Amino acid sequence: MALEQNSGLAAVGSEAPAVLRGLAIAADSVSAPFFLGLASAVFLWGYDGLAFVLGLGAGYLLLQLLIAPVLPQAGARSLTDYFAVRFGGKVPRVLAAVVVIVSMGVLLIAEVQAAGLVAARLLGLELASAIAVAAAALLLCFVLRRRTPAPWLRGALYALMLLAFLAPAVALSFEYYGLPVPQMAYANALWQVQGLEETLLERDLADPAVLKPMLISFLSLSPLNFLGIVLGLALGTASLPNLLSRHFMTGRVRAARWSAVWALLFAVLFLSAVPALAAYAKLALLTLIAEGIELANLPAWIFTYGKLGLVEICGQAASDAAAVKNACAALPDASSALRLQDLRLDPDMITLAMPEITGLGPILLGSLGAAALAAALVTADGPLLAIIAAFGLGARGASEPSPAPSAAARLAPYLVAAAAVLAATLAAAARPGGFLVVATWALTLVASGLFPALVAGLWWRRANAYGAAAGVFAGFAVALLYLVGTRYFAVGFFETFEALSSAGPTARETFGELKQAWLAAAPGPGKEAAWMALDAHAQAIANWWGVKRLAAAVLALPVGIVAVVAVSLVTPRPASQEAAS
Amino acid sequence: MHATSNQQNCAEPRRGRFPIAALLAWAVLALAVPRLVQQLNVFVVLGFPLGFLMAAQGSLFGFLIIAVLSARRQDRIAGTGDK
Repeated sequence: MALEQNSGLAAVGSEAPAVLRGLAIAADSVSAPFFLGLASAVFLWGYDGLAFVLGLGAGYLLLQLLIAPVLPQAGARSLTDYFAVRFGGKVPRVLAAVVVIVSMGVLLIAEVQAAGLVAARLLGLELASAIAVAAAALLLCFVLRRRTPAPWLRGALYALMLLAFLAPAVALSFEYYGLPVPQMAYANALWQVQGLEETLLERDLADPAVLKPMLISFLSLSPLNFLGIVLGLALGTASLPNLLSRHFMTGRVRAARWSAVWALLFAVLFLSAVPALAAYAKLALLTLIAEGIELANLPAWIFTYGKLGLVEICGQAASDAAAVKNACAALPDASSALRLQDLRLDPDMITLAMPEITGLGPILLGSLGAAALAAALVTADGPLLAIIAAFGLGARGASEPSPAPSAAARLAPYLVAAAAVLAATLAAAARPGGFLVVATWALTLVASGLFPALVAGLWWRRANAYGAAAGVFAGFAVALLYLVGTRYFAVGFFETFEALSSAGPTARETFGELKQAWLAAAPGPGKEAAWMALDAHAQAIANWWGVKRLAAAVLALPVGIVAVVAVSLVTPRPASQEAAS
Repeated sequence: MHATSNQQNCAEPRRGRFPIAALLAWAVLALAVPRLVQQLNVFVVLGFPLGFLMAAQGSLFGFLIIAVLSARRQDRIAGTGDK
């Protein structure tokens, strides 16, 4: 047993010191989509965006409290292997593998999207071709680096990410307020932003319906949705397959629990600076608008990202000054100055553009971009390895014999990786949502599918294979049904669960009218347009109790927990417990 | 090779006590405090409205404190068993 634990791929990391492992764990969970997405969320949604920051941070503590103390003793090689070792039988293992493959596939989509964005900005490519280039680079990195000891590389990577993110925040804190601690200095920026928001409203430069004050809570997310995002990200981080398989399967328990503490510390250093950078970018942008900047004198970054289709002014992509002028002249209430409601920034570009928005030099932009690209290329092998392990390839389970690998067996992991990257690239090109949103869906699927059964297996002797299978299946099914149903089958979803929707009477009437219009329309482009209108409206109202897709964990988790507990209790005790008692 | 003698069955790890108090503190910081933002915002701490400060930074540092305390407690319980 001890010999097996100290051989093979998974054990490579277990001898590194806890501090370094902490850095590596932080890099594995603050992957590129979160690195480039969190500050954008706070920028756009103000207080409500903090749900993402809080959720990630909360996840590390759960990892330390619930997983790190017990999982390394279970003698499993990967998360799917744990389900086989702890519960026995095939069904829990296969169900867990399905959850891992689907959720890590979704996470991979977000990684490819993030890498594509950075490649587009740094190489000056179009978004579609940049995504293809990034995906190819990502696969190449995976093939080349397969055997490198992970903690050193990842530790260095996270240190780089931390530096690249903190440098602009520290520089701005010092420049604005003479205090190089962004976590404290940005209090001033928050109040200045609040003042500017009032100024914009007074000068008619912002529409009260569009302006969402940064300090006011629950404007974009209801408290229930805020809770759902925190739960999904926290429990998803605590049961993230690639994280657990790499860092918590072997080695000493003491090292595992302290590496989780270090990971939390390094994550907090990053997470606590996120709101500061968001506030500085908001301050810079609102100052620009409050100064009454003319549409003819817009700063260059607007066009840089406008060309990628990530900045819209007056409803059109801001590709150059002439396009902006024409688009805004066409508006009924045309204005020569830029107004807040005319500007639409895509969440994906905000963090990457922050050095430009705040007027910092190109060096900081370059280092932020380089760190983000490195993060995307390196951390994407986490989901890839998890998918490979879920197929039963690569790192072998402790329960299986390990024969000398044949050529076909050596090639198989790479074929799976290539197929996964190809699928993720095609999905990323279709842009299912911003990458922070897609990554949050992935963690929601992990939290709903794996967390209840994993924690029950670790802490509750009575949990058995039936309960685990039921918990994985029920939690995952509800989360997947909700994420896919409300997005891609919104009309059917709304009609099936009409009684549960939070839509008001007017929205329901509109749905009826749009449906009649679609049914009455003659086949052809008219019917398609009617369907598009119906589907768009349905996506806005297809929900249960007003829960957004991002917060689906709040619905799926209780189902998963109840399933584990109830099914375990009505089925026989697990065999190992009978033998022990 | 360190000793794994106290581990008869690999599927049955030796358990410490379930960390109920720490999890309760987790739930308060992660779930309850953000909900109370409007009430907390009445106070201003370090120049921040307290509710915003807690969600942005306070809870994170709270998690860190809980993690350190709990890891030290786990060390004490484990004694020299797994050093």
